[in-house]
Amino acid sequence: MIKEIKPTVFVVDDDAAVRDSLRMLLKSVGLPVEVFESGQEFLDGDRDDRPGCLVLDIRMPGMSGLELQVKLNERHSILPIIFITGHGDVPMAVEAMQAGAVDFIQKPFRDQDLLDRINQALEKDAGSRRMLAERNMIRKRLVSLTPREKEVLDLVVAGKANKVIAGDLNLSQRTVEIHRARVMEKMEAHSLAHLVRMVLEVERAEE
Amino acid sequence: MKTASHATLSSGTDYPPRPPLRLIVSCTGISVARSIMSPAISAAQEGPPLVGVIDADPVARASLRSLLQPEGVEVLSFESAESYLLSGSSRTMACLIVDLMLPGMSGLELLRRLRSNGNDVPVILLADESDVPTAVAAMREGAADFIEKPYVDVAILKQVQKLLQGPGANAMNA
Repeated sequence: MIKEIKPTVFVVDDDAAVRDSLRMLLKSVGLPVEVFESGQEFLDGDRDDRPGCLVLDIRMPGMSGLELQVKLNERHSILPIIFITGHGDVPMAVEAMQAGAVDFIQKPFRDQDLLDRINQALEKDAGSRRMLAERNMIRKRLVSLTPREKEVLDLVVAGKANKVIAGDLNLSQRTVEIHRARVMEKMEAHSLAHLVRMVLEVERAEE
Repeated sequence: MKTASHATLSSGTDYPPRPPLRLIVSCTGISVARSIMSPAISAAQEGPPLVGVIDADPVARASLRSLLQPEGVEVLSFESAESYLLSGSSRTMACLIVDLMLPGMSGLELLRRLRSNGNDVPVILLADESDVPTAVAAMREGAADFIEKPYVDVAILKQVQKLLQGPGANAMNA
């Protein structure tokens, strides 16, 4: 289960003036903010599994913003990244977006534009976290099924009728009905459609 | 063969800016493409992967075709987003290479329309002159790549090959 922590805007920029002005801007709208002067400092802080988003300067001495992004991807971080840059070009922007950045903003930008993008990123992060939490919950329920119940579930999801499932598993139709009812109960499924959706959701994530 | 339905559809009146004659010309291009199939395709596949090229400039279409065909890719070209949509072949493409500045529906509008219809065919956008905000907007809409013209042929080939290798290559944008 993911703990409820207030989302934080993490800022990584080697320029102290930019860090200060972003800190003030974000504080002024009531967003918790933490600033870092290098990618390494951010990595060392282990913030990347916290809810929020990352506002990241692309050009920094030492580890560049794009390099930090690669490292975060290796850690399977889902923290949305908004790049800010003074001298971005199209290939750089495309590379960052292909690597999963949610946005790429050129300086100078209007404060409100950045805030809008940050709010979008925070929403996206909350959405991904909700989805991950839901998937974990479904996985827990799946694990609680007995092997027989799991077999019945797979056949139900494959769209087979009780009668066919009974034949396939060499069970009586009544027994299949009982297993099926247990599956619905353990999976907390409101309907067959809901059950199928849950199973597909987890399967798709594991592909 | 989609050619017949393509020609029939083009006589409809939904898209007045596209005279039917020009569509028929692009259909001829399609049948030419089908007859020149590279033998360099793995035998396991049912047919060569299909790549759609949508560009109003016939020279650009021809050069993309000659770039891609030797790679064992079958190229279907269209001169507008509208003629592509009318062809009904959207579901079978391995990827689409689309000029950003198409007359009528733009490349970005086509991308949005495909995505809102639940079609996630990989789209490589090509742009004559571009800027970072446009590229970012395209990537946010789910483009697989955004390449500036005069594009390096290698960049397109690399991206097409990556896309043909299967899903997952672009998973971060999902």
